[in-house]
Amino acid sequence: MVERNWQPSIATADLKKRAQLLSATRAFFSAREVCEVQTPIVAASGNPDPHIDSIAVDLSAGGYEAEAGYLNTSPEFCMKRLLVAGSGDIYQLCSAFRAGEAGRWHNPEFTILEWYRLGFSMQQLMAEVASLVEQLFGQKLPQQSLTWAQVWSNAGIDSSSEQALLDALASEAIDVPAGLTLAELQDLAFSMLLQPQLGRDGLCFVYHYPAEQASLARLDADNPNVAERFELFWQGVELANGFVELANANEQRQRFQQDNLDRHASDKPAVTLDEKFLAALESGLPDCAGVAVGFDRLVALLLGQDRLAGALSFSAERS
Amino acid sequence: MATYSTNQFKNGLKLLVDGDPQSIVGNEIVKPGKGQAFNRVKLRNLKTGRVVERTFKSGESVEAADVHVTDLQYLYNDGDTWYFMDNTTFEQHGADATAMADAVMWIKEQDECTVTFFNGAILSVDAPTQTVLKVTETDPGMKGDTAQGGSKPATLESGAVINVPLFIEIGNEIRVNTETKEYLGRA
Repeated sequence: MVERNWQPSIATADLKKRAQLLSATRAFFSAREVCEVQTPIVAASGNPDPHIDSIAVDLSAGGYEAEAGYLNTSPEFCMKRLLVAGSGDIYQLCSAFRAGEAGRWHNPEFTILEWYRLGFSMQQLMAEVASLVEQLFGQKLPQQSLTWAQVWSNAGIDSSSEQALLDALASEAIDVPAGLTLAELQDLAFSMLLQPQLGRDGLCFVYHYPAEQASLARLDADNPNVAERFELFWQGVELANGFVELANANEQRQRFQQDNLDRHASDKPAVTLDEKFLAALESGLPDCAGVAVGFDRLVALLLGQDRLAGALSFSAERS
Repeated sequence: MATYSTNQFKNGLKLLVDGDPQSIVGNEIVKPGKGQAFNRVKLRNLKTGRVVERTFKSGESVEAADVHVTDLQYLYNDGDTWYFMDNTTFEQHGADATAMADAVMWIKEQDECTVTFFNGAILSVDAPTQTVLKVTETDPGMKGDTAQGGSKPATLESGAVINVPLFIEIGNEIRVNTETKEYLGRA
């Protein structure tokens, strides 16, 4: 059989535009004196996040301390270790890997743009994310900021009611698998009903996610029911996830342990905690905010593509 | 019982959903930034042909349908069963009218047909995409005028009726596309 999949996923002209976007991104951070760093792609520990699956790699051939490792799902832990060591503001453009994530806006291997700013508030970091997107886009964009709760109330859906979520999904003829938890119903309804409408006219920041979805974000000091976590949506596509970073090592350890309980509940193997990361937090993470941008998604939107593959030299099925 | 994880989903995979064999014709993953992922899957029911969209929680396993597709030679029809032969094993298999569906209109003896089996029985039969069939009935031809447009219905030896150019006559053998039901040319 003739192999037809040798050709790139991206158009040749777009390949050059992607290169320009990469250098413009580096110029953006250089002008702000944020230092570019590179951290290892192979990690000794996987990501405990119950909704993220790491790709295991066999390291038994030697060279590494461990026999087995994982491809990075994000450079977060290593970058925070650099922050603890006194790196100051840093950014990274690197490949990240997540098992099973393949689709129109997903590729198991993708480029993350992640950066950390010392002393930044959530609002300051959201403003900087918007500046970067506008600079790459070449013009100003309308901006909107909504709390997670506002997004639901604007849609007229009571996110605390299982029945309301089921009704809303049914009204759009969306089939719902049996036995979903309230959180899973919220995830499905958010993805199917709310997200496609976010950022239709410009950049839409959603912030103050519920504490249960805090991930590695600090809880809001005034309202511990919500986390200082935000996401950016543009044209219905999720582009960025940012936190005011949780610095408390004990709280972080408890969240990881809870992650492992959640993994157990969904029949996923527990993840060995990254003790080097936790030890770094013990030493004291400076007050900072950080954000990860799905760089390939951003490039795809800037290129006017309607799928991630249009921004990738070779998507997974062609790699 | 064979199963597939949602991570293995791709077009053409055959699943057993609601008791029917269904083929994946579209697979989209939706996932909030930090949250449960779902596979939104378009499934074509191999019995009815209907396409429905279903949601699966990513990571779930779904039962595989025991479906396989193979090329068999059409032998003959005895009234309510159409018989096919596997040319490597010489095994014969029968298909009923439901499984035959539209294919009966397009096949003649010796044709190689694409046959889909479900749980060991013939589920559906596809006629060859291109075939040659004899015209058994049509209005008198208009000889010598091959350039002129226009068409007329013609009945083929297999039973199908398609539009053919005016110069085609009874007894002519013509090439047809069985999917688009179009005349392709004289054989």
